[in-house]
Order: sequence, then structure tokens, then C-alpha cells
Amino acid sequence: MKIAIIGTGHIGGGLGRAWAKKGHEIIFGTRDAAAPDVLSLCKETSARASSVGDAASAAEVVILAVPHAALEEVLQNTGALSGKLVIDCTNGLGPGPSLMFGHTTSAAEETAKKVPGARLVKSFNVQGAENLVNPVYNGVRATNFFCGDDADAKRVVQGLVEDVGFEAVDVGPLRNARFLEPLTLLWISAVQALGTREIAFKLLRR
Amino acid sequence: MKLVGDFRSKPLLEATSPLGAGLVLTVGQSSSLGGNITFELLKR
Repeated sequence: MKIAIIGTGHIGGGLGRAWAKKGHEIIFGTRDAAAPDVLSLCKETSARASSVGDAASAAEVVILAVPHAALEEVLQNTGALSGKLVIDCTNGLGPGPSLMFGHTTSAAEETAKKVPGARLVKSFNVQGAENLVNPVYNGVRATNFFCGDDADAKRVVQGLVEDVGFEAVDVGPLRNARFLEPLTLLWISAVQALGTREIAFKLLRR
Repeated sequence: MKLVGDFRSKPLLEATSPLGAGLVLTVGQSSSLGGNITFELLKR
């Protein structure tokens, strides 16, 4: 699958490394495709880098893996995303940290309004990049939740989540991002309480 | 916080301790996943 990853930081780079190992074709969308760290990432993942617009237009799947504060500018540069599968990995966090959007809407729902016609799915927002490198804890796969309104898009996302090595759990429509985004704050709180980022949530079921 | 046993056919704390977790966040019931579910915090 041809995947445009907008953002070359810890999350974007981590997803690119994981998916490249599974044979996906990765195109990183970035402001500076010639930056040394971007070139190094491309070499490692056999990927290429281009402008945000060129990457988004060339791919079937577009990953938003940038700080939420940069999203407005990114979406001005992606071009129309109608019909594309867009995975929103961002977290709209304010000081504290706190939620920028909460309870009656979510960052994902607000982003969906800005990309009309895109099949937007929320995922990969509730874990540190360490878990993208290794999501397995003593033989147990950590859970990565996703939600969205397009069933076909979610089937694709389920496969992409599993390709990273997580257990994939569909938690319903996009409006349930209202619950996934606060879960990020819980993860951050647990990191602070336990003094390690090597933690992840697992959904147990009977 | 309420603890419920019998996940993975073991008492919950016993089930989590080999993973080094020891922290149970929530316990609840969900029909959407077809049964009882809970969260476990995995930790290396």
C-alpha cells in the first residue's frame, strides 16, 4: 500500500519504519525533504520524501503525524483529501496537559470538518513512539484503538495497526475519538507516575 | 476501582503480575466486544 506520512518525527518515523518492514511504500511529506534527518530516515526505510502536497497526492493513505498546532498549516498544503483514507494521529493538547477539545467534540471530529470527503480514522494517538518500535510486552500485544465512520477505511486501518504489531480494536464511530483523546492524557499521567515511557494499554476480554 | 478476577482464566492480579504491570485501571462490562472487558497497563 502506498502511504504518505506527513511528519517525520517520532510517530511519523516510527510508523514509517514499521510499515516499511511490512512492504508498504512510504512517502514522507515534510517541509524540508533534504534535511539530514529526513534523508537518514528515508535511507533506513527505503522511502522517499517530498513536499506535503506531493506526498498526499501520490498516496492512497495519508497519515497526519504532526503536532496538532501544525495541523492547520499542513492541511493547507495537502491539497484536497476527498476520497482518501486519512489517519489522524494527533492530539489536541493544551497546557497541563489538558484537552483542547473535549467531551462534546474531539480534535479528530474538528479535523474531519477541514477535510471534506476524506475517510478519516483516529488511531495511533495513545502511545509513545517506543511502542511503535516494539508493541509487544512479554509476548502480549499492546492494544491500539481506532475509530471512524467508514467501514471500508477501518478495515484497512485494522490491517495497518496489526502491521505495526499491535492488537487492533475498533471502538466505533469517529465521535468516540472524544474518549480516545483523553486516554492519551491518562497514558501521559501514567508515564509521569511510573517514571517510564515503556508502558501501554491492553484491553483484556473474556 | 473494582477488581474482578477470572480474566484469562486466572485471578486478575495473578494474571497481570507476570507482565510486571500490577496496575489495574478500570473494570467494566461491554456488550460491543461481546463480554466483560477491562484494561491492563503493560509495563516493561
